[in-house]
Order: sequence, then structure tokens, then C-alpha cells
Amino acid sequence: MLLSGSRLRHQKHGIRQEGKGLTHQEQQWSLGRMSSSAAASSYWRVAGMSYLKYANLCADMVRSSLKEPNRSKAKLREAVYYRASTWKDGKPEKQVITDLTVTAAEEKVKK
Amino acid sequence: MALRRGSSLSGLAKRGLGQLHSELSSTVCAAQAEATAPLNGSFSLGGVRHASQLAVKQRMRSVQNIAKITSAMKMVAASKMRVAQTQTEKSRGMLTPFLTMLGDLPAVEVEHNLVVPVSTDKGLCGGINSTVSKYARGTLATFEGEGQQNELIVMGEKGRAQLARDRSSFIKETIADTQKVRITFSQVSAIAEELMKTEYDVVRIIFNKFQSAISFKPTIATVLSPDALEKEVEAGGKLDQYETEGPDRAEMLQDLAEFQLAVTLNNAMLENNCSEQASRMSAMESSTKNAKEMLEKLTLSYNRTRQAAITTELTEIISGAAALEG
Repeated sequence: MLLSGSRLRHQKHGIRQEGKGLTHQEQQWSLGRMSSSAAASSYWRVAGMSYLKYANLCADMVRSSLKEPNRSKAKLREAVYYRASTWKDGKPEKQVITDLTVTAAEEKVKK
Repeated sequence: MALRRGSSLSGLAKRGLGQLHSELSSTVCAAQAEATAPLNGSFSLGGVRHASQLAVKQRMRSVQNIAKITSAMKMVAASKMRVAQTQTEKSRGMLTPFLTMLGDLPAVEVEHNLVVPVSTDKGLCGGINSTVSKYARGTLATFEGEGQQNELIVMGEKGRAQLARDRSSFIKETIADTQKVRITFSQVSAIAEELMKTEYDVVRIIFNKFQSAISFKPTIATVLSPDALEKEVEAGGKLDQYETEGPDRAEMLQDLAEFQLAVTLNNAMLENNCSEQASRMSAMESSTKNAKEMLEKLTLSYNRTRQAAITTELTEIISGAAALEG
């Protein structure tokens, strides 16, 4: 099970706020993150996360626990930006831009 | 009478010079190839003052500007390449353990291929994108011949443009602008998840492996899907030689397969980015060289034409004066 760009953004954003205002699903994920080492089948997988999503979330957490100035330096490595469009019958369909850069997140907070 | 003779004389002189000019111009023309081809016609007509000089001068200026731009692009590409090279070399450190542990299995028997050609978004970088497209076409043709299913997910604008021409029916998705901000592992993971939305047995990533500033090897990296990987391991892969703990093996293999896809894609994108900069650097270097050569030829022809025009004018004046005296 995979998440669309906007869900991913929301999810990352939620984690950044240190657990404030998490949805039910996200709370489940953070539970999974804590106890996955002990579990036989990882909770995060049961909750529908892929390994990559889990690993990147962990990396995000480690980055946000850094002190300045290393923190803002490491934050740059969190940037996600790409433009994807699906094709059908040899023709491109609608484009989706995934933008999870720091500035994009800031703009979203301002709005 | 005298005037008429004078004019006929100068006419003769003109004709003689005209011939000289056309000879001159033909030799210069041969040397310049097509550089000044549209301009030659104008100055071989009469061989005296006309607009061709202005045209040559304008052309010289534009060639000079192009040389400046290309040399600047070369500098930019060179500095970008240095950064990209360190990144690429670091990313190989994550990939090598996978190759030693799971091996590279290009000949694995599967049903469904996902071919991922990694190309660039920008042009002016030599032939690296055509190489990738060529290899993608070859891969498609090979597995099509073996009766396997194929799908394309094209990375980069240039590869999309090239493959959309004749393989558009295979294209499932195109991804671009990955270098607009920077290539990060988070980004590559997100793209890897896009890839994983497709049902596949094996992903074949085609990219240019960076070897040195002048050599890039087109490479096909093979990444198995979790299921295919499990089958392969059961059939006697190298993984059984390792002792593992933690979750059960099927789950670990799934984690590994996902991580391997992201790591391989990360490496492929960085390698291709590095090759792009290196290729652009040498392409811009040679175009700067060509522009300078062209400028030299244009300068020579410009000076010759100017000198010839002066000579003609002098001959006209002298012959006119001589005619008046006689």
C-alpha cells in the first residue's frame, strides 16, 4: 500500500511537529516505530508502510534531533522534488509534481 | 571619348579583379566549408564594396559570443562534475554490499520486466541520452523476443522525447525534474515507491556509469522484486551462506529488495548525473574549439575581402586618373 504525494507530505509534516495533531493512522505508525524491533512482523508493515517509507521516516527523525547548524544542513538532504506523469495508450496524462522541499513546507505553514 | 575609354578600362580592371576574387573566394570557400557559404555568393559577384562585409562582421560577432557561452558552460559543468563525482563515489559504497551479497542477475528468468532508462532533463551533453535510449530499445526488443512482458518508466525529459517517438505504447510513466533541487535518498525512495506501484518481477535500470571525465559505460542494473528474489534465493543463491537474525527471512528479503531498488536507483541517478556533467564538459570544450576555428576563418576572409575592396578602389582611382591624363 502506498501513499500519494499529498498524503506523504502531510505525514512528514505531522512528524515534524513532534506528534502534535497526528491522525489515528499516524499514531499507529509511531507506535510501530517504537516497538518494531521486538515484533516478529513489524507493526509498520502491518500499518501499510513500506520499508523505504519507514527507513526514511527514521532518518527524518534523526535529522530533526540534530543540533544547529548541522540540523539545517541535514534538512537539505530531506528534499524531494520530481514531476511524474502516467501514460495511457501511448499518451501522457496529468502531471503530478511532488514537492517536499523545506521552502515548500514553510510556504504551506504560512498559508 | 577619353571618359569612355577610361570607363572601359576600369571595367576591364574590374573584371580581372572579379576573376581574381572568385578564384580567391573559391579557395577560401573550400577551406571554410559551410561556415560562410551563404556569404560567399555575395562577394564573388562583383568583388567590390557591398553589404557582405557587414554580414561577415555580424557573423563573427555571433560566433564569438557562442564561443564565450560554450566555454562558460564548460566551466559550470566542470565544477558541477566535481561535486557529482564525490556524491557518486559515496553512493557506490551502498551498492557494492548488495552486489556481493545478492549478486547481479541479468539473465534471470522472469515474466514481467520494468525497464527504467535514466536520462537527463537538459540537452547539450553529447550522446549519453541516445546511448541510454538505444540500450532501452535493445532491452525491450530482447525480452520481447523471449516472450516476456515489458513496461517502461522513463526518467528524464530527453529520454522521454526519444522513446516516445517509437516506443510510446510501452511507456507507463515518465519522471522528470529530479535534479531541479538535488538528488537525495529521500527523493530516490519516493521514486522507487512509484516504481513499486507497478507489478513487476525485475527492474532493469539503464544508465551511464561514470568511469572518468571522458568515459561513461552504458550499464544495465538488475533488481529483482521481493517474490523473484525469494525464488532466486531458494534456488540456491548466496544468501544462505549468511547467518541472519531478526524477522523471518521472507520479510527480511522484502525489506532487502525494497532497499536494493532504492540504492541501485540512487546510484544510477548519481552516476548518470555525473556522466551528464562530464559529457557536457567535453561537448562544450569541443564546441568552443570549433567556434574559435570558425572565427579564425571568418576573420581571414573578412580581412581579405576588405583588402580586396581597397585594392579595387585604388585601381579604379589610378586607372581613372590615367585615363584623364591620356
